[in-house]
Amino acid sequence: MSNQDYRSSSTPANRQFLAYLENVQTLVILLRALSHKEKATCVLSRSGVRFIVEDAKSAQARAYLQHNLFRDFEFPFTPSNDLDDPSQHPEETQPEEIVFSVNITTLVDCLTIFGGPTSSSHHSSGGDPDSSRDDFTQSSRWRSYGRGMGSGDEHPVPLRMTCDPDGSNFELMLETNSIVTQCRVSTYDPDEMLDLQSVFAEERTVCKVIMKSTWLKSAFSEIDTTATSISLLLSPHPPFFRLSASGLAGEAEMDYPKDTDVLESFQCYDTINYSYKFSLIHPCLKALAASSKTSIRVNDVGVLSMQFMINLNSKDVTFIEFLICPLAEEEDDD
Amino acid sequence: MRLSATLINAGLLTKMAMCLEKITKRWIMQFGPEHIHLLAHKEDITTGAQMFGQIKADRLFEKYVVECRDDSIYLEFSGEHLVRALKSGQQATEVSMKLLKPQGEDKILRVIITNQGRSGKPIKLTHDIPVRQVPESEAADLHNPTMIDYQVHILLPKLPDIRSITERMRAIAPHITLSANMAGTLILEVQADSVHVQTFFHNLEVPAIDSSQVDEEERPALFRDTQYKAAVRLDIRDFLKFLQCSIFSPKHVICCIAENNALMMYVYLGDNSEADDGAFIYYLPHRFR
Repeated sequence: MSNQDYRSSSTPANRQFLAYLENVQTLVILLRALSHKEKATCVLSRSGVRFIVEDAKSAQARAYLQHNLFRDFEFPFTPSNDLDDPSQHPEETQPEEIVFSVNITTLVDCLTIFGGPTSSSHHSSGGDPDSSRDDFTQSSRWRSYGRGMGSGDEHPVPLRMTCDPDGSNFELMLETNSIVTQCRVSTYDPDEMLDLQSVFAEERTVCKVIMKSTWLKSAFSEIDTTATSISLLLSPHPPFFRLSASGLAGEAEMDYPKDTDVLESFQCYDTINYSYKFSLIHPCLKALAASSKTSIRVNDVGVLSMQFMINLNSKDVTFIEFLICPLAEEEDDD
Repeated sequence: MRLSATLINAGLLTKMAMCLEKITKRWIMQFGPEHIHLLAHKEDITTGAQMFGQIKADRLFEKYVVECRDDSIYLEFSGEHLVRALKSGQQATEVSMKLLKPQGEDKILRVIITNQGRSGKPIKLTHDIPVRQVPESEAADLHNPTMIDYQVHILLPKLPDIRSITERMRAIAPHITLSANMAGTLILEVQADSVHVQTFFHNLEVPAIDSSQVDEEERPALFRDTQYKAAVRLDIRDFLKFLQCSIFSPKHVICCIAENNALMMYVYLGDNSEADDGAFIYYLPHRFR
C-alpha cells in the first residue's frame, strides 16, 4: 500500500492491533452471513478475528478468521503478571482480547466502498420472498472474490485494520488503483453475550452429520419462507435424516437417505427430533449458500450446531457457526 | 419565426435529456444560429443544482433552420415530454422537429418520428410538446454560467470510479464533502455517528493557469500555496445527479471549488480530439446544514 500515513490515531504503530488481509471480500462474505442483526461483537486476539451476533437470547452466529489467513497480523500486547517487569507500561492496557460492539451494515458499507455485493443490494432483491430464497441458494453471488473496481480486472482489494488496545480508533484502510479509502468506525461497549458454546458442549453430542452443502441448499429452497418452525429428525434408523417445515402454508417434509455420497459422515446414537423457530434458522442460509460443506450436530437437549465451511481460495478455509436452541416441547405446533 | 431540424444524433440528445432530467423539470433551450444552449433562471441558481450546456447545433441536427427577429429562439418546456418523445424514437429511421405557428407565447414543438413498419412501409408518430416561447425581455435575464471566484481547479479522476464510491457513501450520510488542492489531491468525505470515511485520489492533473487570461492580482486565491485545500459540502444527491453525466464518457471534467460557496464542473464532451464538441457546466451549491 502507499506510504502516505493515513492513520488518524496518535497511538504509535507498535501499540496497535494490525491485520492485513489480501482480499477484503473474505471478510465481506463472513459479515454478510451475520448481517441479519444490526450489531456484532468483534473480538480481536492473538489467534485471529471473531465476529459474533446473538439473536433473541436463543441463537448465536460466529464467524472467524484465523491469524494465518492474514498476510500480516500483529497483536503486540503481552499480558504479564510480572509487575516488576520494566518493559511493561503500567498505564497501558495489555489485553488478551480486544472486544467491542460494531454496526455490521456500516462495516460492510466501508468494506465494499470499491464495489462488490453490499448488504443493501441484497435487501433490494429480497423484496419478493421467492427471489430472496434464490439469493440464498445462489452461491455464485458469494463467490465474487476480489471484484474490485477498475474495469472488471479481478484485482483483489486489500484491507488493513488497526485498533487501539482499548477498542477505540478502529480503522479500516482499503486501496485500489492508487485510490485509498480510510474509515474510522465507531465502536461501542460490547453487549453481554450468552455462552452458547458451553451450553452446547455441556451435553453429549447425540448426532453428528457432515454433508456437502448442495442438498441442504436445495432442501431449504423448497421451504416456504412463511414457515414458523423447522424440525430436524436424526436417527440411526430410517428415515435417518428428515427436515420438516410447518407454518401457514402447511407442512413439508424432506428425507435424506443415509447411503449416498453427499453424506460424508453420519453418526447418530439415538433418535432425536427437535423443532426450531424458523426465524432463527433462516439467517443461516446466507452462510449455507457460501459454503461447500456443512456439519450438523445436535446435543442431548436439542441445541443445534451448524458449521459451514467456506472455501476462501484454493487452499484456505474458514467456518461460520450457528448455535440454535430448540423450541420447548409445549411450543411445538403438533 | 421558424424552427425546424432533423435530429442526427438522437443518442446524444437523449443522454443530455436524461442528465438534465435529474436536475430540473423544466428546461430552457436556446436555439441559436450555430449553437444550442441550455440555460437556467437566475432564481434557481442558489437553491439547487443546475446544469448548463452548450453544444454545436451540427452535432445534433442537420437541415437546421432558425429564423427569427433576434438571432435565437428561446423555448421553455417540460423535460419529461421531450424524453418521452426521444425514447419512442430510439429505433426510428428519422426524427425531426418543427415549431408550429400559433400566436402568443404558448406554442407546440412537434417531434415527428418515422419508424420502419413491419410491412416495410414507413410509420409516422407525432409527439406534440407544449412549449413556452420565452420573450426577449425575459431572455436577457436568463443566466449564463459566470465564472465564480474559486480557489482550486483540478481535473477529476474517472467518473465511473467516483460514481460507484459516491453511491456507497450515500448509504452512510446525506452530505458529502469534496476537497482538493492544486497539488493534485482530491478527497471525498462522508461522516455519520457510526463512521467517518475519506477517499483519497492523488496525482490528479491540475490545468495550468494561463497567466494571460488570469491576473494574479485579481484572482490571488488561484496562486496561493498548492497544498491549500478548498472544500465544499454538497447534498450527496446533487453530486450523484452530476455524476449521471458519466454516460457521456466526457474527455475531461474540470472541477472548480469555491469554498463554502459552490462547485462548478466543466464537462467537456467528445473524444480526445481537439474538436469542440460542446460542454456542460454543473453548478452544485454548498449546503451549510
